[in-house]
Amino acid sequence: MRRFFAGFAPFAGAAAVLLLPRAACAQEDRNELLSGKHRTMESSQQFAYELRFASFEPGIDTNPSLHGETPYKTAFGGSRLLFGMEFDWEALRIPNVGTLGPGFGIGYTKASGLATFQQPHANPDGTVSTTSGESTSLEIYPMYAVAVFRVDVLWRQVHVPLVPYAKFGIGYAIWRASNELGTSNYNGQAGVGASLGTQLGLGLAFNLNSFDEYSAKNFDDAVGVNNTYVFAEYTRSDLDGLGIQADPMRVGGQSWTFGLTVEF
Amino acid sequence: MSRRLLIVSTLGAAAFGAAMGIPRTALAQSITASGQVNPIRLVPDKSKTICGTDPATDTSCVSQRPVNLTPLGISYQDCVDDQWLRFSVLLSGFAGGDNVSVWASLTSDCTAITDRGGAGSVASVCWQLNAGISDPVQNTAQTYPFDVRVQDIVGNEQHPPFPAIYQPISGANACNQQGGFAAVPMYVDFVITDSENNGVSGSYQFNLNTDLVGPPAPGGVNLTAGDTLLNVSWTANSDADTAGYMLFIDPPPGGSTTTGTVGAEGSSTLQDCPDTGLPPLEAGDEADASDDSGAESDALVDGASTTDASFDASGADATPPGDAGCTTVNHGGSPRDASGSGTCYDPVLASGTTQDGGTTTVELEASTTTTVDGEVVETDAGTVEEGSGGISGVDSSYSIGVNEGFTIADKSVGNYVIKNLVNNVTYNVVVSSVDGFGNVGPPSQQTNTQGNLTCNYPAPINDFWSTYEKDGGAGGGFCSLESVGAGGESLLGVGFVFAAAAFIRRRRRNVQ
Repeated sequence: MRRFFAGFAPFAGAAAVLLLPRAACAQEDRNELLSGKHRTMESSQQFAYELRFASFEPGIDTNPSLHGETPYKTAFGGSRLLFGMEFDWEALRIPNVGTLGPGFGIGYTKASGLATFQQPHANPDGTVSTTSGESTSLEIYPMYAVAVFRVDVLWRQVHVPLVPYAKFGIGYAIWRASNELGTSNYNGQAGVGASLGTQLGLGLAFNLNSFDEYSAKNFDDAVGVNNTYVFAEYTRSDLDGLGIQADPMRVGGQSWTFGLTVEF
Repeated sequence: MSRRLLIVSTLGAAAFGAAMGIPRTALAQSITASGQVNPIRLVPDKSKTICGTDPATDTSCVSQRPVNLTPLGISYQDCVDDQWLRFSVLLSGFAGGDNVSVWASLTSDCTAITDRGGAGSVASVCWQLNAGISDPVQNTAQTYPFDVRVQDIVGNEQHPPFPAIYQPISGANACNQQGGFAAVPMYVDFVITDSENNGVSGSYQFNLNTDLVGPPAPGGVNLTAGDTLLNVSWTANSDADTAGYMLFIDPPPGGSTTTGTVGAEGSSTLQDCPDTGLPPLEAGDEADASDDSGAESDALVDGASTTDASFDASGADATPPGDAGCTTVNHGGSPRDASGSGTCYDPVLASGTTQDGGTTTVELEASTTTTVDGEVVETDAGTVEEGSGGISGVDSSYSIGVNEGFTIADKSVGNYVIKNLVNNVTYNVVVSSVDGFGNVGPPSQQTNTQGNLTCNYPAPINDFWSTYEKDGGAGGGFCSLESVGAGGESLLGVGFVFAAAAFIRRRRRNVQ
């Protein structure tokens, strides 16, 4: 049971962030009004939105219960594109440090390949093959709820356009294995499920405003976008069940994620 | 008194008249169309009409082709069905000695006597369809029916009789007169002649489109197998005549078929012993390791160098041969050799053994976007005539898909999955192209350019999930979503909408 509650610690942290007194924000606003002219033209900043792309290979084959067998690699080979998006609420601005708040992300990836015959197959041309003409696929919808901490003090105070950040929280992925007849089924066990675990992200964002601050301010005036970043992030999701789920399919994994972030 | 010939029709499809390009204004002199000139179609004994009315509500009506198959044009099927066209013509103002006769031509309105093989001509460009009526002296306009056989229209197309007399042509031979697969526009001319057999002004020309030949078969047909399914692909035709495709499969799911002529009755010699290096199967091994409840194939090893496979005549159990080094599959027909130069059995009825086609329904699904669920068409083979003209040599009862329009109406698609088949039963699949008249072209070659035969047999597979489970993996459950696909996509959408909403809200706040 302790492990169960431990699994939800990131959620509790995120909730605490949301409940922090707004006075801190007010103080920050006053400070900014008194500070340099850079901030005086800027609209308020509360949210961030990320478009995320990664070359992703789930860690299915790392499951100890497979005893070294590699069903994923056998069926699909290597990694596939994972597309995702993340929405962050920068609920708290920590003066002279950065922002802290909850974030929610969701993504999608699909791996497909040709299934193998159970027995060698005599082809019409007289050859024999083990690869069938039927496709098999695995779809994964990774989701997560994390606390996001962005250290933007370098940009805001020193004008160095680099913003390191960290994310940690709960990861959850639903998945579906299928073939051309629909959802796969083996011995009555349907190939659908979900896996729970932790989510970690460590990244560095580069502020594109530094290239043309005048245009960036106009962009802010026009549509309210304060900052635009490109980022690189080490992402790790250990969907091993968190101790409350017995031996789930480990559809999480490690990857380098790249993308675009806008703060507004 | 001016001659007047009004053509009216009892069919009320005004749109058809417009579509056929009837020159109404040009008919104003002596023959005019009322604007509704669709001929009535009649079955050979003229006891029923062929129309778009539901036969259930009008017992005098026989269903015509679907609207996407040019039901008012002439197809090969119409020809071999020996249909009739009944033109109702309103004649008025005729003087004594005037005649009306009905002619057909590819190019002419047949008013010139030389076009009708008269004096001074050396050949006919028109051929007579109906002797018409003579001396229709009328004080008041009256409607006359002119019945024209479809076979008379298309049968003399290539060689109009000379001198041009009414020369009936019958049988399937009449329907094999078109060499190319493109549609052939023709004219049905209602020619008014005087007592000297000279055409006079006012003759009415009816445009009729005919197409008796199906489009060429697609090439590059390839067949790969999966668990209870076959993937069939081909190179889409680029000609303008092709409007879709039909798939044929043998044995037809839902019934058994007689295949193969090798070996004695009740058995079929099956030799498929490529030098594969495969370990021989043990006697009695199940070739079908799946749990499907369809027909199964038993793989037997008898130790002999060659074996005969005997089929259960009921089709419920096919016993293919076994041999050391042989893959024991059920080919169900003519033997193949290891080089791939053998042939599959023809997907036509023949004497020999019986093979079970499995379930009564199959599902045909495009590998791209279109999904067509259908079932094997249990048509009476007699309803689709076979011949050297437009209809494929494949029995229609082997067709997959719905029996309305095309099985596959998208000519650009050449990749489909045939589902619900029986593992370890060899199926032969051929593809025919279909044109806009419903003419089915010849079947695709059973040996494609790669030398691969277009026959294959579904077999059990190991997909990712079964491999994962067999390897010891677990998973599933725990709030899993059965409809994860739709659910996940919805979540992605929700995430995007949520972000967009927040962004818009921010913008509004900034504006205020």
